[in-house]
Amino acid sequence: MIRALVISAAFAALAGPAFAGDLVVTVTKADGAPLADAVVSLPAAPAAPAAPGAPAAPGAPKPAFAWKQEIAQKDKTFMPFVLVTPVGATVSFPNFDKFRHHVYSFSKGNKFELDLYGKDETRSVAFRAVGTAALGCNIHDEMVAFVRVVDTPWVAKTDASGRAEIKGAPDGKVRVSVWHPYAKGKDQSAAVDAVLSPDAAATVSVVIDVAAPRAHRH
Amino acid sequence: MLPRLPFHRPQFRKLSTELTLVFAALFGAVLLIIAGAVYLAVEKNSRDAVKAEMTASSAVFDRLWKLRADQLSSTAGVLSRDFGFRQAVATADKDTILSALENIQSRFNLNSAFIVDLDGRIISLDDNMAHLADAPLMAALNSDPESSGVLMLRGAPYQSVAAPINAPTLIGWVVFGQRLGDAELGELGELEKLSAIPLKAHLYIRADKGRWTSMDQATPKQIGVTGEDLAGRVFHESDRNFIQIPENDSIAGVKTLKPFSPGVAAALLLEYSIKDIQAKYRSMLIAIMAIGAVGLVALIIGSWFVSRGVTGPISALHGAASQLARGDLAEVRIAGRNEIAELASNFNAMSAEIAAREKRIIHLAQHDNETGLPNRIALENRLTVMRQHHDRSRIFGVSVGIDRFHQVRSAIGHALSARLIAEIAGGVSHQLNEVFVGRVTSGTIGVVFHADSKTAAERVAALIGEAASQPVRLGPDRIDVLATVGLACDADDADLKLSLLERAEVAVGQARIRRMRVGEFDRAAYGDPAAALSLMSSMIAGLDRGELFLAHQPKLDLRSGRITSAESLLRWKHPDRGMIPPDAFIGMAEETGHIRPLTDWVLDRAIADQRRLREDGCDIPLSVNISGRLIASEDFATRALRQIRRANAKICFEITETAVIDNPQLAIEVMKELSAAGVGLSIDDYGSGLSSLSYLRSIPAQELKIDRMFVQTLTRGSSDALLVKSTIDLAHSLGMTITAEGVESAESLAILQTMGADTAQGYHIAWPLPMDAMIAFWKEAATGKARSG
Repeated sequence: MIRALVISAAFAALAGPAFAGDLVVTVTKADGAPLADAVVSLPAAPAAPAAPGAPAAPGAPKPAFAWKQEIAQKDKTFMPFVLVTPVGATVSFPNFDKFRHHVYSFSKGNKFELDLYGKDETRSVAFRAVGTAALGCNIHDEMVAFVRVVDTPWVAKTDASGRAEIKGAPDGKVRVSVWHPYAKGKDQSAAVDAVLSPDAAATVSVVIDVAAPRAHRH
Repeated sequence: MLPRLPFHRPQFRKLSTELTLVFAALFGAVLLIIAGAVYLAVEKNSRDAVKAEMTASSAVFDRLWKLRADQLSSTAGVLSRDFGFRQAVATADKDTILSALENIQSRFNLNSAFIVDLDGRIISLDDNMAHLADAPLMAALNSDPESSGVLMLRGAPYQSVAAPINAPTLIGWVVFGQRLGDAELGELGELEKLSAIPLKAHLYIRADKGRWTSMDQATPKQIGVTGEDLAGRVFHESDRNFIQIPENDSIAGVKTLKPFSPGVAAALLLEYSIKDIQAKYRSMLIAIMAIGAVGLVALIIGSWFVSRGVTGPISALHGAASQLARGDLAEVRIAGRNEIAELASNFNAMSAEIAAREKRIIHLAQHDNETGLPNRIALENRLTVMRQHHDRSRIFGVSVGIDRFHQVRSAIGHALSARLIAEIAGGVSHQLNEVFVGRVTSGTIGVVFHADSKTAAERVAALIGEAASQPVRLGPDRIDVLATVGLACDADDADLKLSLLERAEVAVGQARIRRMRVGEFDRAAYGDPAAALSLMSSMIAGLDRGELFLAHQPKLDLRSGRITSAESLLRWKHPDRGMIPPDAFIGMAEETGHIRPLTDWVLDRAIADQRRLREDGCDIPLSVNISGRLIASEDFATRALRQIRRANAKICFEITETAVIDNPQLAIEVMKELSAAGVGLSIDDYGSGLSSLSYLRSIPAQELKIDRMFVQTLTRGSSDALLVKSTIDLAHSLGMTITAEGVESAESLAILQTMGADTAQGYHIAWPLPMDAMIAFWKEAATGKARSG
């Protein structure tokens, strides 16, 4: 549930270089603390995007991201906690712990189960459905990670300061979607409108109300 | 003076009763206090025990509750963490989910097991379960995915736990429930078994801050207290709430149960029966009561014995004092050395002293002070004793009268005469054994003894007289003593008012009169002095009642052979005693002075009788005997003359010569006066008393009456005849006529006639006659005379 959604757009108000089609989103929690691991995205194209969880249309260009398509297990913790991956991409699961893990996901369209595998072994899984796959370890209940499968190239994850930046998106009015695994509300996501211009980077602040589950490591 | 208290101390007749009752009352009071304290302690103890047990049971219950919750939790946890189950839930594989639930439900014997997903949809084996979770359940699950507590499902309470299903994020909850209440409370029934005291558990539920509702079914466990009632029964003690249930004689502790969802409140009432717990103490109470009762009985017996120990000597003293008061010698046995023993000892001393004093008093009372001889009382006492051993006819009393004792006493004085009596008594005692000697009066010694016969008694009396008549030597003097002894027998004359010794004393007097040394009591001589004491008053009364009258004895004129006069004699016909002879009362009337009114009466009577005789043709003078004491009384003479003159009566006064002896001159003057007035004078009883020719010559009498003593035995040639003849001659020579009294035979009459006597009087001529007879006699004599003449 979205308790409050505050949208504020500031134009050419910031100091520093401005880039055409850039968007800076700052996500905070209800108490004002920065919220990390929130995924900020813009729609892929004017054309209607595929429904979430539906397999991407074959032949559609696969977005390529700057970050590694990998979720490592180290110290009974998935690293990273949230991975944004393009639909259809293969994500590798290297195990750096000296014990074994049993990674699984029951998420619709992205169900998988990696039977026990040991240290320095790597398994990989291809995520074929747009949406969220919740990952767990059958042995270690506290291990939780999320894979956000997207079909858009314009996507970014907030850092520890709650800031995410999307570059080179087409100008104009856009719908900015913000998702976080523990966000309250439907689909754990919220959306705000923003207007991108070539002159300056658009800046958006979003407040997400989160409910952190107990005993999850991330 | 102390103020009176407003209550009355109960009065007991016996001190021992009082002491016993007081001790028993004190002990009973203490016992009551102890019993009350024990009862209160038991009451409090049992309540405290209940409360302590409640606290303990509450802790046990907490553990049981937690244990069950933990069991449920762990079971739910196991299920919710099962990978396959999670997968089934995550993939909405309903069949798999249901089979897993069935499996676990049967394995752990769960009453209820179901799944709730994030949207509130319920997956359950129970077809009756709602398909959607209600708001309280969802709220509970959302607020705590591992919620646990009392959960209402389909209107019934369940101890429930929830476990989240994470796959890996939360996708739903597993909820397990165990039915609470009744059969399912059976498991809580373990609590009832674990409790040291009888316990009943009752579950109450309150939903949405509404009423508390009992979850008990209609079973024997039911408290019967509705939810609303509970609030009114709560009492707070030691930071805990309790519920009072007096109808069951129990109290209940309140145990709040954790609710599964916030809106529901649940409470468990643990009911403890105080009655049952007190039953344990009851035997103790009964034991205390029994000990108390036995103790009370022992105390009563013991204190009775103790108080008897105290009051026994007091009772003995009381008895002895009563005995002493009755005059008996009393002594108390002295035991111990306490105050009572001291009192008893003092009492004994007092008793002994009283006895000694009494002895002295008795001795004094029974002995003559002067001589130390037993006195009259002692003699009487001895007689009383003797009468118990001897027939009264064999008991005799002797009175020893010392002759001329008064002269002796005037000669030697009282002290010596007392010694004299003592000596004489000693002599008697010395001479005769078996006699008891005492002093009766100052000059009289009394002796009592028993003898086999009167003859023997007379012998003893004679011996006593001899012994008492021995000369007595008092110092240098020798005194001749002569004693007269009177004897009386106890059996004889006992009807008299005289005691034996008094009769003996009278006998002394009688013996002296007879000039005998020893004399027996003579009843006849004694007469009836008691009757004489009242004779005069009887006589005066008799005069008024007409008991006294005059009888007239005619006198015969020997020359003419006619009745020429009569002597009026006084007669007394007593209604009880019959005829009383004049000798019996005339003398006494003279002694007592009653002779004057008597004589007045006689004179008046004679005057009246004479008038009546005269009216009947018998005009003869009547002679009246006048006492010598009266003849010298001018007053009497004056009255007599007046009466005689008034009636013009012919009266003659018969007087004896002795009448003139006391006061001859006056007597003769009066006689002369009477004679001059025409009253005849006659000298009566001539020859029987002292006759003085000198007086005979000076008395102006017309008649001389020869005493019957000379006439009755008159025969020819006897010495009496000479006396009578010479007296007749003497009287004639002095100018007096002669009347012979006591003429009882024709012979005497003839002799007297020959001798020249003038008149005769006696039975031969006529008896003294009452008036009617006198008149009849007169008339007969007149006709006889007419016949003969």
